[in-house]
Amino acid sequence: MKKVDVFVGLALIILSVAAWITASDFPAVGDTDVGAGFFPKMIASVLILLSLVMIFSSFRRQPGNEPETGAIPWSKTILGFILTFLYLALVYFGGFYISTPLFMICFIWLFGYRKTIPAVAVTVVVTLFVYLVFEKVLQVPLPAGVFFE
Amino acid sequence: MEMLLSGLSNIATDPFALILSVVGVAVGIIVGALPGLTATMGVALILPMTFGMEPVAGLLLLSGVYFGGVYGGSITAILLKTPGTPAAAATAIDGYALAQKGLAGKALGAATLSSFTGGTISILILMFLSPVLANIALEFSAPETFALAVFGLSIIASISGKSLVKGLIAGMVGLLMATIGLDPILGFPRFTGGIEQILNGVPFIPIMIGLFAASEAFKSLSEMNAKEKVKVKIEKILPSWPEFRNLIPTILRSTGLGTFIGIIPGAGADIAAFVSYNEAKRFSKDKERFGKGEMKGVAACEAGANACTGGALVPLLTLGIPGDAVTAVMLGALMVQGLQPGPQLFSNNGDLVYTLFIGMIICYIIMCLMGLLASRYFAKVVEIPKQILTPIILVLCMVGSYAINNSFFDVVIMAAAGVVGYFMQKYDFPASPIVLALILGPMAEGQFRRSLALSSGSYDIFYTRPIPLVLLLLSAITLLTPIVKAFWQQRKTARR
Repeated sequence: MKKVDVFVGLALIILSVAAWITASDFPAVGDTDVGAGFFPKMIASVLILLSLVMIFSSFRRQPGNEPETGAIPWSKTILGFILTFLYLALVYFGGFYISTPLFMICFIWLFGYRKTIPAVAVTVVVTLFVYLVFEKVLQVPLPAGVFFE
Repeated sequence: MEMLLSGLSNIATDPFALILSVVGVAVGIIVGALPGLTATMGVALILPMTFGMEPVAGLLLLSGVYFGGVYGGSITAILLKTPGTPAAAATAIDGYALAQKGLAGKALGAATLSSFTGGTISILILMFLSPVLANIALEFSAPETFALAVFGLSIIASISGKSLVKGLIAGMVGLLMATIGLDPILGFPRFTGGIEQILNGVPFIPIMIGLFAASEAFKSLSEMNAKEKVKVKIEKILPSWPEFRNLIPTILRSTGLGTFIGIIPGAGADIAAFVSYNEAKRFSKDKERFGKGEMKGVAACEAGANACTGGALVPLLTLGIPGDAVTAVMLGALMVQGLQPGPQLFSNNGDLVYTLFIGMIICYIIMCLMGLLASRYFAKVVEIPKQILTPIILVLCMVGSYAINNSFFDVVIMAAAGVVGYFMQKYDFPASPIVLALILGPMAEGQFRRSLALSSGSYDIFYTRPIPLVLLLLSAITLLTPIVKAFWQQRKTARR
């Protein structure tokens, strides 16, 4: 039995039921149209059915038939997620030009790459490249940060 | 013919587009050569940069990335046995064996020439086949288009993952997400929760960037220490004429197969490569040589995989139906440029389409030259440490999703899609059905309800017309075959 499949299946069933109930209140106009709720309700029903199939088939599978997803170095994955989310938050508050070099340097260093010159060079080149391509050539303004607006 | 000539002159007088094609192909080859980075990811990351460009220039940049990305995987497959893309896994079988024999250069040359031939012929087929198809599709009305969308969805959901149920679930989740926003007939806001930004539907370009690029970056977080270096020596790259002549039948057969497979929605370059490889083996007189360094093996895979590109563009441009993840991203690119793919594209923007076709052939010529002259340098990109590559990808994901609407909301959507995509990959849920459902869902619903308006509410309209009937039956067969097969196998084992 794969726990993830059961968990995902249950979550999808709850979601589909919620969608079904919400969609019941959607309006239908005229006699030929099936209304705004028809498609969401159909999709939700099929999704419930498929989720049930997935849950039951995960019970039926013999143990050991499928190897559990092996040892993932979770620490590194979580570190990467945290860094990325901090980066996005920092872009929102402090803008692109402060956050990006900081994020790149932190990331490169924390993941164990210790050659200073290439790391700094890459950081500068990437920041400059994005600046030139987006702000100068395409004239798309980059986030300035809500602190500076 | 006139269209082709004017296309040629359009391209020749547009140096910016030509430069961008060169840039696109180079970026594509690099992206393709790097294991873990695929053509889809490259196109998704470059797409936001085409936003402010002229349509031809922007779309050629993306085509370059696409073609280069499909081809680039072969370089690392041959030199390192680490295929840069799933499609190149087949190339690695004989390509690496050749490299071990000291024939790395020859293998690279054969791969380049086969990719070039396969790709160029497939674009020619695209050029002559698509106007014909578009003409037929112009006659399509609502029920036909609805059936087409259902067919596209069913085939994609059923073959894109390891498990049929999970593929279908991904497709259904995508369809449910596609209903978010104003409904296509009445304009009633559905599931919006009062969020203004999703009134017009969930923004699918940030979702694509998240699912196809950010999730791959997250995946590479746990693979930081793998370090690779090219050890084999590369001698002469260009094969001699007798050597190449020997490969021609294989290349042409694989090109045909690849183009055909590309046209079928759902089947991509990886399938084309493996099918071409198997066929080349079947046709060969000495099958034992396959797997031990047979030049034909390399040629078959590469011609097949690259021929897939032109084929995959056929349903995209003529019907507005993307057949796989890359073409889904390309569809996003067309829409960013204000072009609606489908039969009208040829009547409304014929000039542009033919300019694009000519430009695509030029992209393949550029790719051929780059491959022959510089593949040994492209192979060096595998030495870039992942610690540097991953943050660059993440920065580009952020900037790209922001730039489309200048909205931080899109960045949040991208990040969420990236995290979800990462876990989907971990637990074998395919990502592409979600994106395709986001595109095809509104089309299916709108056309379904328009059909009913046409038939004043009667469902007869879906089975009394020949095209919808055939397409809907095909969809049912696609969905039922694996289930029947599984059932049959179970009975067999039970009897034993």
